[in-house]
Amino acid sequence: MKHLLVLGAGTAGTMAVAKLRPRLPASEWRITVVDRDDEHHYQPGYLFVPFGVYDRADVVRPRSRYLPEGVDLVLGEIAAIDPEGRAVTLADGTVLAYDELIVATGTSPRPDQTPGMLGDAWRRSVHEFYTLPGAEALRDALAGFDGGRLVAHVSELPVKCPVAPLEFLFLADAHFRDRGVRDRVELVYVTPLDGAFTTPAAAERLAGLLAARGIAVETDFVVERIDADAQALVSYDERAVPFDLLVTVPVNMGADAIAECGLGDELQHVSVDPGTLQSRRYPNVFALGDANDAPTSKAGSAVHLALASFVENFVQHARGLPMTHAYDGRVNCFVETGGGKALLLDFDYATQPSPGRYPLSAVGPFSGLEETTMNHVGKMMFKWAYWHLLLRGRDLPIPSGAPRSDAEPRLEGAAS
Amino acid sequence: MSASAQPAANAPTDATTPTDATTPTDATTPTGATAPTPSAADVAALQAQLARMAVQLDEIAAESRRSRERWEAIDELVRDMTPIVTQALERADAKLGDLEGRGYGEVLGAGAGVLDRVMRTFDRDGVKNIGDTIVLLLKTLQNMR
Repeated sequence: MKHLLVLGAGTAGTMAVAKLRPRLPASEWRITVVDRDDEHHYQPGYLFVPFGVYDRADVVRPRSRYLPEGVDLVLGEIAAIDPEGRAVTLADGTVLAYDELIVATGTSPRPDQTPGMLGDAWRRSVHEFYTLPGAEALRDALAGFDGGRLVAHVSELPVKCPVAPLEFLFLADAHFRDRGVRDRVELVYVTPLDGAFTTPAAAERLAGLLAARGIAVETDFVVERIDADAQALVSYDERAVPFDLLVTVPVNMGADAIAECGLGDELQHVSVDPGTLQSRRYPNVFALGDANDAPTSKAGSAVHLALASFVENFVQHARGLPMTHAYDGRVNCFVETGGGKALLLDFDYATQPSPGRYPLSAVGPFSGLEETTMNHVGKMMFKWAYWHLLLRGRDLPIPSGAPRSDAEPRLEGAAS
Repeated sequence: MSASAQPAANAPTDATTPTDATTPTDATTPTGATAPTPSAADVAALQAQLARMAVQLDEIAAESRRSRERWEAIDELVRDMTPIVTQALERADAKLGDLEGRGYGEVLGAGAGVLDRVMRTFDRDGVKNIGDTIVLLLKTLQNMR
């Protein structure tokens, strides 16, 4: 009996075992998933918590409920990974030997990596919404914020869902307008990039949306520290951006155990082949989702779209056959723009986001790079699809093709 | 539990229990007659029956869990859709109100009146002939360019 060990029962780990369990004979393969607790978080929902759209009940459910039959869940903190010895040790001393390992431990905000971020101002005037406690604290802060300078800030890339800070600003703009205090609130976006987003086509479109809402943008800003006394972000080139309320995206890093075993890069993301998601060092180790260093966005849709090729490859690999499928880096996401509208971004390793209709090229109903009500409906309905279809390994009832427009061919260029 | 089943208050503390060593291994009926000892085949059949029942109970439990999940999914779909549909209806209502305010309603009403008069004046063949005539007129206009 062979043993497949999956580290992490989040989006990637849960969807992977839901797809793999029916494909790996139970008489030949035992599957175990390890996570620290039994709480599965719908992380895309954190964005809506500060605005009171979602609460804890919307975004947290038991992990065990979403794992298929024939998969064992072990609760425990990962202490060490030994790729040479093919074993993982948990904090309580339990040793789990494996034949194949899937690392799906995600990536986490690390406010401790930026001097001054975790000071007295943390969760008072310095906030984040990439964790549930952070999103809930920000909800309380926004409720009492009637005027001043609100700065949304990205510390360093890559981060999970890189459009989320922009979505936060669009929703904040709508939120303050609804409250009638928008004219008393200055909104600023501070980014280490030279534009609003990574890919030029999307950056241009998103910059236009920011400008239309009167949101200022400070580019090429690499934060060195937070000056809590002066309430300002300070960059390495000594620029200062003052704030009354800071909503930051801290540096994102993978699990500590990944760095200690030599599987990862400096941000503790597992170094993989971007097509097969197989470790560059150990052929029996794979890394899915946010845990790997594949050059695409860290988003749940990337995992979902990667699984089609990954599962076929893994089944071939398990049978001792060469892997013949490749993930193209495709990711898509609805970008909430406030006022009940959203736009759709869809790109891959080689192709930039482009206009077009999706999934049906003639009628959509979703539209690439265009603000529409239907895109917003897609965004809001994704929560249901996530809990009831994707986590259970079911496919979305729509074609998987990218947005297409007969009139405007897709733009070619490198996506990051 | 009935009163007669209660142990008497003055019952001896060393009362013999059914598992006491003095209990005969052959079961005895209340009337003292000896019941037949089940054969190994009977025991095996009973065990097999119990095993089948356990499997059936597992299947029933799994099916009821799946049913509950389906109902929860439907219930949640309705809950999630409600605010979205409400928002869409409010927008549609506002849009219709706007169109009404700009006179679209009156024009459409008048158009319906025209259609009504056409329906009362012409039969099916008459309408078809009008259609042919309109196409001819349009072609003539096109050729005039």
